[in-house]
Amino acid sequence: MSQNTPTAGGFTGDPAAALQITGSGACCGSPAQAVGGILPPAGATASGDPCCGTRRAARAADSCCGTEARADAIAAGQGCCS
Amino acid sequence: MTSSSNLADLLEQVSADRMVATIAILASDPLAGRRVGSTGGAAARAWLLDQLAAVGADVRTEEFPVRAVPQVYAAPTVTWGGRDGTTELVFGRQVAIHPASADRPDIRRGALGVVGKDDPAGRWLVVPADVSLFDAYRDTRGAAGLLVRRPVDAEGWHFTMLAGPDPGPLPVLTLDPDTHHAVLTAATARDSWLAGATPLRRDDVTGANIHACLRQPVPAGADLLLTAHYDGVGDHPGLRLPGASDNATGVAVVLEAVRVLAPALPAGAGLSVALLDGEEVGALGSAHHASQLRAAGAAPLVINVDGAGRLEGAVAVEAGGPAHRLLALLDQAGRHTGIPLAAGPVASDNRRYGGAGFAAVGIGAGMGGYHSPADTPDKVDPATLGAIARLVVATAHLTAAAPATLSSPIGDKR
Repeated sequence: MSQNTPTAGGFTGDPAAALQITGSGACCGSPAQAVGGILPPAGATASGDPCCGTRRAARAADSCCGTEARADAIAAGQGCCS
Repeated sequence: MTSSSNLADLLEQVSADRMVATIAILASDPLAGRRVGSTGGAAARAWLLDQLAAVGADVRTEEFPVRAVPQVYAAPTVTWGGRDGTTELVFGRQVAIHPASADRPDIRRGALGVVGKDDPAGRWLVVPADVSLFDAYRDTRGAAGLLVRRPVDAEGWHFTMLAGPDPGPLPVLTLDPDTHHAVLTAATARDSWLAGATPLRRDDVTGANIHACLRQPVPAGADLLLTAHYDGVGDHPGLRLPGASDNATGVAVVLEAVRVLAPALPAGAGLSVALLDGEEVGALGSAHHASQLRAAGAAPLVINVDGAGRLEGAVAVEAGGPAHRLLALLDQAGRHTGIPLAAGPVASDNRRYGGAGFAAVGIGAGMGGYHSPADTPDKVDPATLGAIARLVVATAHLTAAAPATLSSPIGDKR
C-alpha cells in the first residue's frame, strides 16, 4: 500500500509552525478565524479580541481578559474564548 | 461495511451525504441551537449517544458545572425617534444586547446623548466608534444605558457570543453601523430619544460531555482521541441560530471518521471520541476532560475538528503540546489525500488538551456562517466535509499504523 502518493496536499512550509500560533496552550488568544468573508475585518470589532468589548473594558468589568484575571481564569479552569 | 484496513478502501467509504444528514439533524428546530444546559442541547446529546452506540462504542456522559451562561429571555423592544419620525429596530439585525449588559426587562426611555459630551442623567448615551466601552463608563452616572457600535456579518446579522465579561451596571445595546451612525447623528442634533430593554439573564447550568470508547489502547500503542464540540450559542427568542458550520460539521466529521475507522483500525491502537459541551462558554467541556485525562495518567493524541463548512485555500491547523509527530503524520495524510494544510489559529478545544500537555491538533476548514442566523446547513459544502473526514481518517490510520518509535521528520523530542 502506498501512503505517500505525491499530491498538492500537506503543509506549505514547516508543519511545526502550527505549534507557534499565538494563543496555543491558553484559553484566550487567537480570535476566531475569519473565513469566507463572514467575520468583520480584524480590528473592526470583537473579532480582534476573543472577549467582548475592549480589553480595558473587560478588565474593568473584572472579566478574564486582563492579564492577571486571565491567569486566574486558566488556573481555575475557566475560559473566555470560543 | 467492509472491514478492510487498506487506507484507500477506508477513504472510499467516507460519505458526504451521511454527514450532511447529521448536520441537518443537529441544526434542526427542535435542537434550538444546542446551547449548553438547554433542552436542545440535551436532545442533541441523546441523539449523538444513539449514533455512537450504533457503531459499537461504549458510551457515557460526564457532567460539569457552568455558571452564568448569558441568555436573552425575550426579544428586546427598542424604538428611537427624532425629528424625522420613529423607528422600531429589528432584533438581531439592527440591535442586540451586549453581553456585558445589565439585565433590565422593563423599557427605559430617555433622551439620546453622546457619551463624554452630554449630561448622562436619564439619557441613552451613544458611544462613538473610537471610544471604548471602558472609556465610556467614565461618566455614566444616572444614564439610562449605553449604545455601542458593532459590525454585522455579510447577511446583516449581529454575532452572538456567550463567553465574555461579567455584566456591568448599565443596560448596553449594540447597534449595526448604519443604525449607530443615524442614532449618533440624531443625538448630536438633539430632540431625539430612545426606549429599550435589555432582558439578558445569566443561568447556572450543567454541561455534559459525551464519551465513547471504540477501542482500548494497548501499551506502546497509539491512543487516538477524536473531538468536536456539539454545543452552539443557542437560539434567541424569535431568532434561530442553527450552528451548522459551528460545529455540527465537526461533529459530523468525527462521527463519520469513527464509523469508517472502528472496524478497520490496525491492531493495538486505541480509539476514543469526546463530543464536547460548553465550548462556546470558554471551552469548559474540554477543560474538564483534559483534567480528567491528566488525573488518569492518559496520553492521548488529540485531533479536534471545529468548522468544516467551507474550505477556501488550505485547512487551518493549530497544534499544542508534544505534537511534532502528530503534525508529521497529519502532513503525510494531507499529502496522501491531496488536502493542503497551513498553520493557522483554531481557537477551540484543542487548546485545552494542548495546554494540559497532550499532543493535540485543531483542524478548521472554514464556516459558511458564524454565531448568527446565517450559520445554516445550506451553507455547508459537502466536498469540504468529505475532504476533512478523509484527512482525519488518513491521519488516524497512519498514526495507528506507524510504530510508536518512528522518528518524526520534523523533529520530535522524546
